[in-house]
Amino acid sequence: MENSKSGLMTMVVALGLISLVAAFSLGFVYDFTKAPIAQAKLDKQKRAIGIVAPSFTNNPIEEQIFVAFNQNAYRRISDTDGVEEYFTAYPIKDENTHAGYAIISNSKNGYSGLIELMVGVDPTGKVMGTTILAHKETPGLGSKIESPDFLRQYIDQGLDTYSFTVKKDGGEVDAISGATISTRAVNEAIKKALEIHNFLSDEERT
Amino acid sequence: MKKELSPKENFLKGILKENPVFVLLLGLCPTLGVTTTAINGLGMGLATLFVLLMANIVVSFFKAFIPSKVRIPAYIVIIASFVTVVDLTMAGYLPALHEQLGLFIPLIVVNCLVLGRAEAFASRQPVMPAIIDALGMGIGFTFALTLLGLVRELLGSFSAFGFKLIPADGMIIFILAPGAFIALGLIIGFFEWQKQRATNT
Repeated sequence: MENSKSGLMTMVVALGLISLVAAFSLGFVYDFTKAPIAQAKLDKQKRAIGIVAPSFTNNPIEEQIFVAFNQNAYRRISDTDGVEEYFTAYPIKDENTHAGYAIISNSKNGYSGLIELMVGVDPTGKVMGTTILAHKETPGLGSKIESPDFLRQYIDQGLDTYSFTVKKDGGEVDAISGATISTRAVNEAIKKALEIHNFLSDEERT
Repeated sequence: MKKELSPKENFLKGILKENPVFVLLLGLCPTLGVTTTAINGLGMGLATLFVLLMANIVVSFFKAFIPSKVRIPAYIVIIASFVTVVDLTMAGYLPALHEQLGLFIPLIVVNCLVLGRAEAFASRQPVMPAIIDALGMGIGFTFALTLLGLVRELLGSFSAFGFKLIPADGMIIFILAPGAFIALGLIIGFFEWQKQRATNT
């Protein structure tokens, strides 16, 4: 253990060897877990689509559409490489008729960072269902945005009939007590999803 | 080491006498951060147990090869590698738990407990005692995190291991950060009280 003679070379070689072995083993583990991690992500998206869209017969994940937001306008993009902010929309089809989109949207205005959610929107622009994909809200308070009881109030609401603001701000959304900020962020994300839906359906018509 | 510990003493010391959380107060960052529920505490404890065990084995095995002047960076590389292994494996095979523990898995790297055991124990002991030490300390850590998680879950949301016991909201303070300190303080106090009672009689 006590080898005070150990020169610079010994240290460099020892540390280098340790790092080399570590790098190789991590490369191996990365390769090994790549497929299961991708699968787990895919399963999660599939489960989410199942929650927000009542029925579909196509494979929405294969038909995904990317929408970028820049210069205050939405724009369809075919490639997400190098695009910082984009949203994913999954077309929902029931027996080959268009039945809306499942749209992944987000808000950066949560109590502690990004809230990511998926909204199912029917062809008339109304919410079919919502599920929270990721958030870092306070456990026990803001984390209640996950609860289906809270998310149920958005169902069948659209941009033309609903303002998506909390009652405190003069709107109609029942905020979670003690978590108004989280509720506002959810409102914002759902609103964004509906805007993306309107953009996509406007584009289809033209 | 002043006197040799028997394997049994070596194993048991980590669970009660030198419990990493309640007595040594090591690794408090994940302790306070993730223990909002008993399940989270258990998952975090087991992940740390695995890293601790592997790090202790490797450090003890290669202790003659690692020059003492660069031992700390060497230990960090070894520990970080095992943490990444846990992180990737969990993301692939236990995605739900991985999501819950999130940021805290990478933070095992800087958990003083793991580095502390490598430095204080594994680097001067043969492999077998190092394994026993890691198991004892790891189980002690898991026990502490699960207990703390259970107390906070019971008081904070009136449930245990995810099962709702009383259909009410609970004392939210115990789920928030201050509650972590309060609950940990109460548990440490309880253990100290028990210890003093045992020595007085």
